[in-house]
Amino acid sequence: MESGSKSKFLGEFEIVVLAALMRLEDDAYGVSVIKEIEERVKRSVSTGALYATLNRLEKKNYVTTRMGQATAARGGRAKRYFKITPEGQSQLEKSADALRQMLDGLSIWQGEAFGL
Amino acid sequence: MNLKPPKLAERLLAFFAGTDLKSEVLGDLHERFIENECPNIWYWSQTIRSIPEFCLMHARNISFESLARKGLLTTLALALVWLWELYIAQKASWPIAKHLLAYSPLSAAETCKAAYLAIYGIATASLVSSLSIWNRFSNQGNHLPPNRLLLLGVLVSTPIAYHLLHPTPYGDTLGFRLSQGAIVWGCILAGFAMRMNYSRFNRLSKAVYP
Repeated sequence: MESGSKSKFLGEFEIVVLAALMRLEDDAYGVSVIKEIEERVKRSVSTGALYATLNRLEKKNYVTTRMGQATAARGGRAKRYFKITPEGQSQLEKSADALRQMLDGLSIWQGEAFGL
Repeated sequence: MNLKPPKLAERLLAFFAGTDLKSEVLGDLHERFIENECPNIWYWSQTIRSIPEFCLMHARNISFESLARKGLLTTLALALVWLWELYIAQKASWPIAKHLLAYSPLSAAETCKAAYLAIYGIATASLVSSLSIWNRFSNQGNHLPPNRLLLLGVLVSTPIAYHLLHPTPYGDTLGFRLSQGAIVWGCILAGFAMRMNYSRFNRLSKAVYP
């Protein structure tokens, strides 16, 4: 129970990554996720930070992965596609809701941040 | 134009990302590298920013059990080195040492030094290989990099701490110190070379420990 409640809320970057996976649907792999985040959040993301976060989310069963085809543009290396699981979606909703509850009524809150 | 990412940066990333992630990480970076305006600088900045993230990721993945097992093995190996050192320091007090001194073409002092260095080397090599063999059996998927990092930490810090805290009985000459250092660091580097070339080492360890 304790461990469950401990991992109840996602971190800020985890929320951003899961939201990007939801937006990209079947085309979510490293480069596309980074581009999506950089475009929307205007934040530079390192590949290491993204994969470390995805690794953590995968361990929590919030994300599943599958390997794609190797291409010449990638130096002959395959893509790893990520997909948010129903469990991940429900965690994302919970965390976004908690954030919304906390920010609601504050002057800085316009209802647009984080795409909520 | 045939642009290729910096080799050293690729190797560093492959090492720190680990076997499970290196292909997709290098592929992603390659894809963005060729569309970048300052590709080499960008690639190095990504490498430098990514390494701490991978280290933290692997550190999080290390289980307590695996850490405890490696700590125990390290302690045992160091205890072995220390016991052998005491034994050799006793020179002719034990039967094996008596024979060694009787048949050695070298002087008693030189024989003791040579035996000490040989035993030191064996103990260090056994430390490296025992950790690596255990690693093969700790089948946890994404487990290679944390073990490499752990090995790095343990193997770099312990001989240094050992040398600082416990001067050897023959450590008064530069040549002896250098030989001892060469043995220890040679074993450590050999251990890392084996770890980096995992598939080859895996075949070797399967042959030794079927």
